Amino acid sequence: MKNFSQHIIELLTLTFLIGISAESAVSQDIRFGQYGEYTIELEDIGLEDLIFEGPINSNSGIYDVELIDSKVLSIIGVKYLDVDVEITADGKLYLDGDPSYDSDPQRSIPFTLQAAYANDGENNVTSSKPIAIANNPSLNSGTTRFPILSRRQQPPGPPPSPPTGDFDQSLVNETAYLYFYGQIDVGNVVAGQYRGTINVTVEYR
Amino acid sequence: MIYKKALGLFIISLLPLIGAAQNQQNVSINVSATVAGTVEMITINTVDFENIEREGSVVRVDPIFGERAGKMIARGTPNAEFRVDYIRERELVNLDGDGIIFFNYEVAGNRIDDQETSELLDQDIRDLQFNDDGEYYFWIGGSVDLSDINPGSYQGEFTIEIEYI
Repeated sequence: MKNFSQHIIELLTLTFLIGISAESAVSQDIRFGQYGEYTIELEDIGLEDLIFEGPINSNSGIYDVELIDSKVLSIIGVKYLDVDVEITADGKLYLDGDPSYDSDPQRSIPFTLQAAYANDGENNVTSSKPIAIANNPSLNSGTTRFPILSRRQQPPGPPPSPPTGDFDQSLVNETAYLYFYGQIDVGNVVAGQYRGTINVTVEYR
Repeated sequence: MIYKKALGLFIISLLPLIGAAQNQQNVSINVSATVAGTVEMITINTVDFENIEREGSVVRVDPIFGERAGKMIARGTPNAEFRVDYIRERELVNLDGDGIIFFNYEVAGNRIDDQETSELLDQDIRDLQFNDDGEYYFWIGGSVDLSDINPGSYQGEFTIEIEYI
């Protein structure tokens, strides 16, 4: 009887340990950047809008900004850290940028956003990788995660040095690039300037 | 033992606060496109100088009050703003022989079809607006100095440019 109860206790203990083990198994994702004082910069290269060049006439259909003509942002940060990138944009361009025209097809133009990134240290669209963007009538949105500098099929390196007083982040910085392009579908709209906004957020993973 | 547990909970509760200090950057990008509608110009009347009375050597057709003024209608996008520009002095050539004269155009415009309430467009470039039906009216007049010219029939063209803004 004593042996039986001891077995039960051992079984429960084993189950409990397995339970603990299973729980710890989903916690392998270490966010080195979360607790460090590493800085990250997101800069607008060119300072111009993403512009669909004219002349654009009413009811004239599709206009593209190709990848090669993208609007470019640069991300400057610690090269061996991953960044999360979150992208949201209006699903339409609105006459005079007024979103109250959202349900007015004569004063809004459907906008399909496309995006890509390059993390091989060069601002070069030919080596860029696409970012999946969900294109809905009211919203374009997408997220992605990548290291500032591509690891090129190699396993991740050691965790970064803690940012102590001797730490000089500029020695381990690298630049990645984000590219924004896409198309508009011009229907029977009134003349004027149509505007929308893309919001981009980056943070260390 | 109780103390240790309490310390452990305290450290765990601090972690989200440290995490909130992580660096995050945001940028907004403007996307823009300018849509230009089409504009159609319809000539209703040409400027008529035939057998016109004159005082001295200068002949003038008033674009606002002159019955001989030319008339044009621009048709475009309702209520859209547009910019108009025209060449104020054009050369007219003698169809019957040698000689040229210079014609100084004067243009008046109105959102309604009423010449007498039209506005003289006397600047080089003007910003105007189509009416609710997408129409805008122009009356064209001008003056020419007929002193020291060869007899004949003179002809030239009038150019007006309209672009959406």
